[in-house]
Amino acid sequence: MTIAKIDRMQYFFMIPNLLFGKAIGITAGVMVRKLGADTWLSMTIGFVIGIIFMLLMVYLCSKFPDKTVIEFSKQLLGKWVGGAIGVLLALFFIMAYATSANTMLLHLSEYFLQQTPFLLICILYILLCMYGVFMGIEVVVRFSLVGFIMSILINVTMLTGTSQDLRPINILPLMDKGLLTDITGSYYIFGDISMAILAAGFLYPMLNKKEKVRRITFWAMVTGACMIIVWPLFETMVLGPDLMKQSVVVCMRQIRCAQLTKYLPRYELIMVSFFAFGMLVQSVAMFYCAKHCIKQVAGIKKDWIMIIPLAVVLVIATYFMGQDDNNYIDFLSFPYSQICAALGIGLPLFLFFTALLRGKLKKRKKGC
Amino acid sequence: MRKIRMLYLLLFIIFSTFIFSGCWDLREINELGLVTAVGIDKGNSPNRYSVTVQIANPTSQKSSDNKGSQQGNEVWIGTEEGASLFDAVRKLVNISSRRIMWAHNNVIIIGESMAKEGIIPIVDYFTHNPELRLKTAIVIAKGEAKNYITAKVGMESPSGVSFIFLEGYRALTAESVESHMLEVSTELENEYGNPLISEVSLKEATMQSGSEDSKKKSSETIELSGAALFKKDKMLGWLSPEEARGVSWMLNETDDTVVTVTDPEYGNKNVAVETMNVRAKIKSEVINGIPHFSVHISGKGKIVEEDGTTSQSMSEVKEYAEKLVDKKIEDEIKNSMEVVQKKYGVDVLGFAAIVHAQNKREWDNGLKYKWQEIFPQITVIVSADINIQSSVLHQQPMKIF
Repeated sequence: MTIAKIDRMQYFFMIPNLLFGKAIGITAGVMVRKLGADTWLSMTIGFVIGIIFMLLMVYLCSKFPDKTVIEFSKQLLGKWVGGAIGVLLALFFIMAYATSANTMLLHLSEYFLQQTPFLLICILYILLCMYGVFMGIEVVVRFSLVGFIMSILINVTMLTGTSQDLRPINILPLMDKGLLTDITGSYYIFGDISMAILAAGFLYPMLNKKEKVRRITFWAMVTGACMIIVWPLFETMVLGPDLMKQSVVVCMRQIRCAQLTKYLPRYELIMVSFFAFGMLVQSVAMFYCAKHCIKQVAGIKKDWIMIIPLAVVLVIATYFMGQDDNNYIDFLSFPYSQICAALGIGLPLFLFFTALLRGKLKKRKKGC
Repeated sequence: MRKIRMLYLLLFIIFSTFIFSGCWDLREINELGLVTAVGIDKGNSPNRYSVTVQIANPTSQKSSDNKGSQQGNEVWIGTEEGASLFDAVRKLVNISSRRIMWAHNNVIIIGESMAKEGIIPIVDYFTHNPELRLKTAIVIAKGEAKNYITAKVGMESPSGVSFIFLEGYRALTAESVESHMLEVSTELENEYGNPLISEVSLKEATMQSGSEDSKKKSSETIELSGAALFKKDKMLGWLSPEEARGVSWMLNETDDTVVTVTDPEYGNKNVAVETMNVRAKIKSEVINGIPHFSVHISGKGKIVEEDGTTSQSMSEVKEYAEKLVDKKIEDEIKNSMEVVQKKYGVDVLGFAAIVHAQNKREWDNGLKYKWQEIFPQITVIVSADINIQSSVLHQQPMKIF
């Protein structure tokens, strides 16, 4: 089987896309209900922690440069435990796909396609993702450059359109809930960071060159974090934490306030179309990782055998997760965020200590 | 493999042609009623709402319906009642023949009696509605909102569209406040927030279409001046244009505003100063459990009109005018504070948020639990410092020899 190869720059652009979509509106909403005006600060703390675990994952991957996280788990822990980790990861990626897809679908079904049956939008979106997965990860990763540019554009249009409505008092006093609360509440952002941490375990072996990958990962994470944190910061300053709490999709309410002079009073559709590119990259990457997990656990060689049944599972998961938007948001608050934090922090840590105890970390690859 | 990919692509394209045609959310523009202004009043019986919409009429057709009427030929106006706002809006379809679309609505006018009863249904309906922009203006009408939908706004037509311009020039006089759906919903959602919404009233205006007197006709035009003060969702009373301006200074909502002062050096004639880049800084300090605020207004100014003559130099005039302008701004703020704090006892200026931000410990230790009782006791010290930098084209004041 030929292993897909991706460039390091493509990998760099991929990471902000994996973090961005759900974090700016949905996760920000989940966090603001717990942390109020401290959301952006708590998110920043979460990213600092997240970057450490992302680097730990990449460090582990660099010790097994040609193996995916499942393959090196099997090597470290044996076939059965490694297989169990594979199953766990497959379930995680299915769930992550459903949350990612629902982020996009909520934007469409709540603001633009209110009469269209939700199931139909689900099927269409999954068909589109399926096509992406079928084309292969290289195509998706190449597409992530477009997603990255579009995410920058949505940030620029949001910042310029809402800058006249900023009320800095809304974010004051800093650490209103207390530093401890901000730190303990920061795990909610792992609902997004875990996607990048765990996907890195599959993307790393595909890199055509593995020099300076840790540095690239670090800067990609910092770039993604900056692109995201500006959203809850601006959302809190424009809408205020109390109005944010009320919304299902906070970023859309923020976008409804954006106005560039009286000649361009609204451009939600333009902004959502920018947003869709990055969202698609995130969804396809989750689909791809779920497929890859199942393939490696079940030992299936052919892609297409996996894609169609998995797509059916994803339609069902996405539909039942998102048909009631309030239940979807409640699910993200509990237990999704907690599961993601446990996996995103626990798995790299567990594998690291196992590798350490088994003496697999002694040899260092030059330049990694 | 390549054939399978092509098959997938083909299937996707065929499938998409059927379902991307937009059957469910298809909305033809000629079937939409684009609302440009909406007025909301209490219905004829309790818990009922009356909704009057002004819909742009691109075809200029005459309406024969007795519920709907024409304002010129540019707009169609219709009124309906319902048990909820949604209900009333849906009923409009029965008389308008078009589906209501809110995306181009410019102003929500709320009737006085409706505002006194509570504005939660209105804010809730429009924040639920994904079509409406949160930057849509919201105003309180003296009397019934319905009458304002049929009135003209300045020289423009239709009135709903031209309301944007009226609202856009608000800061020039600063005699009303900035009130969009965003600010109002934020204040309502905030535990200590109370909305302050601009007021509109009807004023007689004379329109002249030619040079002859016979072509003169008087009509009612909408005036944006003053503000309605709320305690949470219920309106308590009005602020006069002067009081609203006093509040505007503190809310940083003035821009190129003119302050006219009477200068004894000009033989008690007036001097007009245009203020620019005005900024309010509010600081708080809690002493013996009572917050004390200092409001400092700073900015630049230029002398734009002198109604008398003087022997003084321009620099002397500037210096003296600065003192008078500072005093006038301070007085306007003090007067408005007197009304807001003593007469109504409602914190519409966000003092609670300032104490919370600047004195977190005191706020958490008790102030937040008794803010309503404490607010009338707070002290506010006002100072203004407008630096007049220009006398616009004049090097020296006008002199008569």
